[in-house]
Amino acid sequence: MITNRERILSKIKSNLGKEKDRAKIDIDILEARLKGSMPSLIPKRGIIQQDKLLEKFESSARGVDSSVSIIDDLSEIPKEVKYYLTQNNIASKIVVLPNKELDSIDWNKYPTLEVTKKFPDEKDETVFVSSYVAIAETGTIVQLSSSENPITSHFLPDNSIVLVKASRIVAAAEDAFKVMRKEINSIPRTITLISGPSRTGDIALNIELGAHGPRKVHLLIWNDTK
Amino acid sequence: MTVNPTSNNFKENAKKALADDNLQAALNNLKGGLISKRKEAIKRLPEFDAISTRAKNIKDEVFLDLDFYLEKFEKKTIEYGGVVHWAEDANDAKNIILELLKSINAKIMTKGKTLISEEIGLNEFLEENGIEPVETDLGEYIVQIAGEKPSHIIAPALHKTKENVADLFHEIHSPLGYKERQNSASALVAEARSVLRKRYLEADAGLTGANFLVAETGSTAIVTNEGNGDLTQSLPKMHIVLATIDKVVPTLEDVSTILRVLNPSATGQDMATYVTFSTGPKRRDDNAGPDQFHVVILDNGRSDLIGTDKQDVLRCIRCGACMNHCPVYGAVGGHAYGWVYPGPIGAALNPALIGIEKSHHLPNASTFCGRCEEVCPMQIPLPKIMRHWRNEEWKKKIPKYSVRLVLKLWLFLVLNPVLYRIVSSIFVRILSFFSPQKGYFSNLPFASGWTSVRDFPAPEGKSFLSQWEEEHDDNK
Ligand code: SF4
Repeated sequence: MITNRERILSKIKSNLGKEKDRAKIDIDILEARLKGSMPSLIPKRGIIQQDKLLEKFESSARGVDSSVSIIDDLSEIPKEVKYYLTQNNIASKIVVLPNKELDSIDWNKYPTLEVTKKFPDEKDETVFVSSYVAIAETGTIVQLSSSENPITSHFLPDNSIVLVKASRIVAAAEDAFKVMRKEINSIPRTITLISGPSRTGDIALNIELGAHGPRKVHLLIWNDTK
Repeated sequence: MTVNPTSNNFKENAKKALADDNLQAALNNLKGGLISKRKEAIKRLPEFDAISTRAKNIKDEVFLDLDFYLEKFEKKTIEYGGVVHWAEDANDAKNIILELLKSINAKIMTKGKTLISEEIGLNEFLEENGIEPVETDLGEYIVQIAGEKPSHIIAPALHKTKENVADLFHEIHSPLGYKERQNSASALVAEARSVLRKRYLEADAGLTGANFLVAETGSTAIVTNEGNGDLTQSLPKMHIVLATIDKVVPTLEDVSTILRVLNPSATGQDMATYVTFSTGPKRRDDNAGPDQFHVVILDNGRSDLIGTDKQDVLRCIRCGACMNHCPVYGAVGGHAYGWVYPGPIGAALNPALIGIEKSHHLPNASTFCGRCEEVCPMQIPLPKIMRHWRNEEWKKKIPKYSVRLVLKLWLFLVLNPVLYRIVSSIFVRILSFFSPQKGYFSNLPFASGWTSVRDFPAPEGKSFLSQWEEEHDDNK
């Protein structure tokens, strides 16, 4: 029996006049294309010098309605988090993803800040996570799902506080893909590029923040390049 | 069968739309909103035209070897534990999805925005089969609970004012415990968020569309602002992706290139809030994500366009810019078009998908001002394709006999310049003889379509050609 698959593919092939198998050279060209033979066309705003990355990321992130604070040392995190929550009238209660990187933060100095180490669910108001890399051109953070970083962590809570290492800021999305290709062997279930809080324009084209994902995104940039 | 079009009622639909004050008020939002935001965003990207050409070339290049890229995508998806299903038409796709849902005994399926599911009439089909589809994109949710259809491809509820939404939510959400009528957009958004949160958690399966299928990685990619697509595809145990054959691109970098023109054209953003690539089901030790990942690749008439002069229309990335800038769409809104894709892209694409017989008014609903082609980031020659459909319409003798007769007479006249001059000067003389003092007619036989809404200027006694000739003679 001829399957849908065969019918669709053979119709495409016959419309293209490519019924016969491709020559080896043609296949090699196509395979090379899939491996990146075509250089990317990156606009000027996405080509950024190393020493300007932090500054550009900060301004792009603010441009997409994230708030930003910059710290010089990991030990400042609890203080910054507490300050942010108080300033924004958010309960002093956070969920921190249990993973190697965030485990090194000592939260004990701020006993009024309630910290639970777990994966957040829909009842948790504020989550503290870290980003894989960040993109300066668009103020974007990149999240790769894994056993230590469930994708739902970035969508269920109302507020997302994200640790961004300055050394992990790249210029454009293409650079983020480059880092990924170098560092990981197998693509995760989800790669998510997040630029600011969730939003909608579906009511009379008014932009409102906090549609289904976080209402607020706060980025704590750790300037580890100093 | 695809969902039933009512495009043949375009004229009546348009008349109603023009007289609908509420709709006109809603359409008014377009000008200040999407149009000016697009302009600003393009100003921030001086290389927009060059990137648009690259984006166009990527799609053209893929279409030249479409079978290769689709097979690559399939192979990679399977490698990561996904399942690929092929659907030739709407019925195939609906049945595949129903079988998948039945296999896990699903009762509720959340949906991210997917135009293709509108194209195949999935919601109605699932309801008939005892499965509740829940739209989660706010605009889609609004039209679903209102029992309507989307009127714009990126802003499905564009035809509704804030007050309309407030009334609707009050009516539908009151029995759920939301007693107070909300008036502000932010409170309405918050109410929908709270209602839909429960639905995400109840759902057995989630269906999303795909803006891209990435051949290199076997990933499907969605571009959203609300985050609904991500919850839809991460919380239930099954994620189904419904996408058409034209969505495949070679690499992640190609997605990035196209995004650079998609986002400004659609919403005036440099980058949408969420771009998510999904590849296979959750990994063995992942704590979230679906156990099953299925991609349904739908053709539904598109492969017929490959290799033809209408193939260009498949480059469309559904940004909506053409309709935002179309004077006809701006006047009548999306519902008048009577099928899933309104505006210029609908006028170019719908005849290919549902047949010119069922959509012949659409390519005629254009002034050929060319704005659509000018703003299209994928450089689709929309007026040219519409012209092609007008020719098809003519060849198939679809226009009424009287219309064809008048056009044939006209053709005969313009091909015979001498006769044309004689007839036009007689016509002008008759008109000027009956011409009222005030210099315009407020009533004319056979032209009530014009004179019912505006006056018709009375001719000055001579045709343009004879005036031209006189002046020409004087200047000699
Ligand atoms: S035809 Fe062009 S402008 Fe219209 S929706 Fe498609 S890509 Fe956008």
